[in-house]
Formats: sequence, structure tokens, C-alpha cells
Amino acid sequence: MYAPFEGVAFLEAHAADRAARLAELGARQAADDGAFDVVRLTRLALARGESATLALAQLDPAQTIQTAALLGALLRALGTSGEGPAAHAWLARLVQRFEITKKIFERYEPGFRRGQGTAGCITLYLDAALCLSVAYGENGHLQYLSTLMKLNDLLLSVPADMYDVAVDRAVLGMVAATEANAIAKLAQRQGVAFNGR
Amino acid sequence: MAADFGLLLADTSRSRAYMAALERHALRPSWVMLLDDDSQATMPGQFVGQTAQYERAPDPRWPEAHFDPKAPLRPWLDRLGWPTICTNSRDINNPQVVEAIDLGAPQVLVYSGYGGALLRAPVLQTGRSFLHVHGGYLPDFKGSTTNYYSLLADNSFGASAILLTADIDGGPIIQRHRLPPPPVREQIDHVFDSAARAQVLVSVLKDWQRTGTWHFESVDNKGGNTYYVIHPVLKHLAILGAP
Repeated sequence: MYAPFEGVAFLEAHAADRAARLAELGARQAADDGAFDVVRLTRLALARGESATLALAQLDPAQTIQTAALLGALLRALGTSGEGPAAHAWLARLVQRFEITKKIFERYEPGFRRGQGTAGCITLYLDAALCLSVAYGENGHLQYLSTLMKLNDLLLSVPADMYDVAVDRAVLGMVAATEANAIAKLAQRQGVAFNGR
Repeated sequence: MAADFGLLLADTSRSRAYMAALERHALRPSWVMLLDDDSQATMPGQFVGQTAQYERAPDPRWPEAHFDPKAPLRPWLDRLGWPTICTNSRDINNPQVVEAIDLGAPQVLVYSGYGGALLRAPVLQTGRSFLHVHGGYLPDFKGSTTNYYSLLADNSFGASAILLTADIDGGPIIQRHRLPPPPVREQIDHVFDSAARAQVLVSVLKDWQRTGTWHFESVDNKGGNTYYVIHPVLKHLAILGAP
């Protein structure tokens, strides 16, 4: 809450650190902010959600939730007309759990409060970040962006060998690009100049 | 005789803003409980470092911004002569704290606790009305660090007085104020967020003491969005911003 203020230098250092970590992880940032492709983001989300075995309407927070199934359903649902309120309700639950625990568990007990199983599956964090990227693009809800950035902090802090599939690196590049694009737009709106912008 | 109220006071910059505002407006609590112990650990809401007061000339838009966020509390309370009990606990939910409230506190208590502390059932069940001022405009901006989010969203700043319930930031809204963006955004955490809350607190207490009742702006505090601690990059953008 009381992170020290370090001025524009903090923003520049953050951007430089992001770029360095993406390079170390072999995850190319999908595009610079001038050419950020929101259509490609949505297509990636839908592709990741294609294998989802359940639809959002079949998931009940009063039952045990397998997080991979939830995220698959969310990826498929986000951007689908008519499923907006349900998708955002589930995102709100997931955001709350992650913000409180700073982890995403393999599954959640009935009531969606206590997590169970491993919290070390990188795919869950990637898919959650992808969900938030699409959702933020749709409605600009700043909480989605803040949580996305915290997920990216985690995703960019792990060893490179945790990313063993090329498509995971592609997702990482895309969620990082979403973040960079969002920061650039916010900075412009706020009249904040850094990194030559 | 003015209606009686008490003050639950943690050792935070917000508590100092409240004390300065109450003193400035001659609003005297009949009972004060200081939530503090001998621990040296820093708690959420405490100012650490060099004193950073708002040094500019009084700003009519920010009437409660002139206070020392690090002034020692006990000498100040002694000077004011406010009847004070010290709990040797920082935990509002400590059973001895709850017992002391149950035994001696007035019906209305202004709550100025440590950041993130939630009132649990035993203390709520003392039947007191806990008057809390949230740093943000409700119900739109519930949760934490909300004034940073509202600065980014629509360049707004706010504070809202509610009576606490078990539902976080969900109690009935007595008053809510929108304020202009602070003139020194680097001082939001310890000066301007506290000053915004103090301004609303004074307004609510004055109205309550004058009329003897709460005038709720909105009993239904449903909806809105809940926010969590803002990412440092977004916080920097909010502080640096001048849209």
C-alpha cells in the first residue's frame, strides 16, 4: 500500500526490467504499443479456451472448482455476447483469491475460498493473465490491469525452464504486450512522459 | 449538550488528521481508546521517515490537510485533556479491547484503526455504532488504495462515511464527498487521503450533533467495484499524472 515513490525513473526501470526478463525467458513481446493487436489477443484466448470441457454456466461456486476448467471456460466466454456478467463475476472471484493469497491453486473448495492442490502450475497463471488481458481490453476496469501486472510480476520472476512449451512463451509475450500497451495509454492520458513517449 | 461520541485511535497518520480536525472544530470525544502497544513493528498507516507536512498556505479546498502525520499522540491527548485509556494492544478484536468497549464506550465510536484490520463479530456485537470514513467514493470505489484508482479512472478523489457492518465497505453511507485531486500527490498516503477522511468526519459529526440523528445519503451501499492494493506502476502513474 505504501510503496515508496520514485518518480519517472521507477517507470523506466520497470519497463527495462520487463524487456530484459522477456528476453531471458525467450518470450518476445508480441508488439510494441503502437501496433498492439487486440484481435490477435482475442484469437489467442479463444484458441486456449477451445479445449475447455465445461461452459461457464456449468460451473457452480458452491461445488469444487477445477481451476483449469474454470479458466478454459472463461477464455472461451470472454468477449462472447451474453456471457459478460457471468464471466466478470467469475473473474471477480478469481481476482479476489489471487489478491488475497498471491497464488492460483489447482482447485478450490466449495465456496471458492480455500485453494487445494498445487499452486505451482504456470499454465494457470498464464491463462489467468490472458483472461484479465481480454477483460481489461473489453471494459478498461483498472483492477483487472493491476492484477494482470501482479501476475506478470510472478510470471516474469520464475526460472526459464518452467516454460517448456513454445505456446506458453507466446502467451507470456502477449500478456506482457497487453500490459505495456495499457501502461502507454494510461501514461499518455495522465500526461506522463517516459522512455521517449 | 452535544451528542456524546468516543474515538478508537490507532497510531497512524489518519488518527492524527482526525485529532487535528476534531481539535480545530472543537469536537470533543468523551472517551478515547488508544490502540497501541510497546511493539516497535511498523503497522499499516503509520508514517515512517522524515516528517512530511503539507507546507503550503491553507487551501480552502483542503481545510484538513494541515497536520503533522507524525506528532506524538499521548502528549497531544494529554494537552487536549481527552479522557484516554490505553489498551496495550493494537488489535481491535483483542478480547480485552472488546471488553473495555463493551463496559465503557459511548454508543457512537469514531473508528480510526490500522489499515487492513477488520472488525469481527464480538466487537460489532457490542452494539456500538462504529463510524468509519473510507478513503474513496462509495459504492463505486470499495476496497484498498481506491483514491489512486479513481485518480486514474476519472481524476477524482473521495471519502465516504459509513457505519461499519460485517460487510467490508458495505455499511450504510452517511455522507460522501468528492474532492479535487490533491495538490501534492506524493503526499496522498499520509496527508491527503487522511485529510479527505477528516473533512467528511467533521461534516458528519457536526450534522449529527446538530440534529441528533444520522442522515443517510444512501442506505443501500450495494454494487460498485472492489479494489485491491494498487500495483506500484499504476500508483506512480496516478501520482505523476496531471491530465
